[in-house]
Amino acid sequence: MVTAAGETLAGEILPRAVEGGRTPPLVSAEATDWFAGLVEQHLRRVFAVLYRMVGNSADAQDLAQEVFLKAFQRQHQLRDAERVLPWLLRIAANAAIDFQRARAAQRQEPWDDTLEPQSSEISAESRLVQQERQRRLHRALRLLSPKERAAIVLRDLEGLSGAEVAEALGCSRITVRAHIASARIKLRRILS
Amino acid sequence: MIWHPSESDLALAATGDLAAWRDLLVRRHLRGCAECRQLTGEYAALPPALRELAGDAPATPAWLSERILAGATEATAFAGAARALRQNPAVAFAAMVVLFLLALLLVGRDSSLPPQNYKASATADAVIGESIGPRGRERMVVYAGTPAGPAVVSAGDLQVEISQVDPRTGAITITRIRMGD
Repeated sequence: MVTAAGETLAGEILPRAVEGGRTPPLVSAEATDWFAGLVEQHLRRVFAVLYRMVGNSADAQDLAQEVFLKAFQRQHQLRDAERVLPWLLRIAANAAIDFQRARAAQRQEPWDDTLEPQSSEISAESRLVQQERQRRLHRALRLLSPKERAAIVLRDLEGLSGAEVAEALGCSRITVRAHIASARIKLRRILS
Repeated sequence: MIWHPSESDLALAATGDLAAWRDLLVRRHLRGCAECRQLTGEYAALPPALRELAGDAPATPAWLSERILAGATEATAFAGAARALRQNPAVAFAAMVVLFLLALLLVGRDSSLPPQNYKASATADAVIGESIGPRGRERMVVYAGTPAGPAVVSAGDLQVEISQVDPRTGAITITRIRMGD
């Protein structure tokens, strides 16, 4: 959707906040430095989780930008600096789940079977084997619901505890157990 | 009839994810049931098998962190102006009139000289571009409304690339801003 070249859309400017009707607070230089450190320290982990959940790098990159921008805008909500990773993973999990639901509603296939190139240090044969394994896993994960996928990625692939998964998904331990159990039963049958 | 734990219980007990009291019941049962022990063993092997299938996630591209930091800088620049305007409706109205007139002045102007700096940001109802160039600071509405999805919107020489629009909140993610072709 591109406007005609040279056209200026003059009109009302409604300076309302970007998100949810609330104005993001002005940010000091210290907060900006904090945010830069946050990105440096946690981007790789957050990206890996998003990649596992959505199945391709391009969408994971877009979601990573969205996740960290939300974290930047909501930094005042972070009560305990020690809990920054579960807080970030919660934002990431919600973003990935919303993304998958939106894609499902549009009947778009979010998974890309053109898999990512891995380390150039491994042989071509090993790379093919690895790609086939990932393809197999992605096909299996695709059959789970977004919440089941999130729970199993965080618990079994990322190694978070049950309590941390519950915190990341914003639900009770009982609910998380149900998601993990359901996902494992399905995966065992699919992969066996 | 012998009681057996559910498959859900075994799937969770295999990795210590059951509630403590329930885990105790299951472990007591497993001591005397080879069939359930075998199934539990299969579930215990599942997480390592999944990790082996998953392998390593792709490396994050170097430009991703730069783009994230740039996005945060843009969000900061417009947040302060938005808040000040909203707190004073009279000033907001005057600002709209001034910006409308400024936007009219921009039409047909020679934009061949590249600006020194440019930014773009999104509010709930518009995508707004700002440039600082030889003619001073210029602010324009690049797109009035909320784009339906990823798009490239432009006004004059300013092009704004939108990667994502949240269907629930209308929040817009800007990934690139360009001047000229």
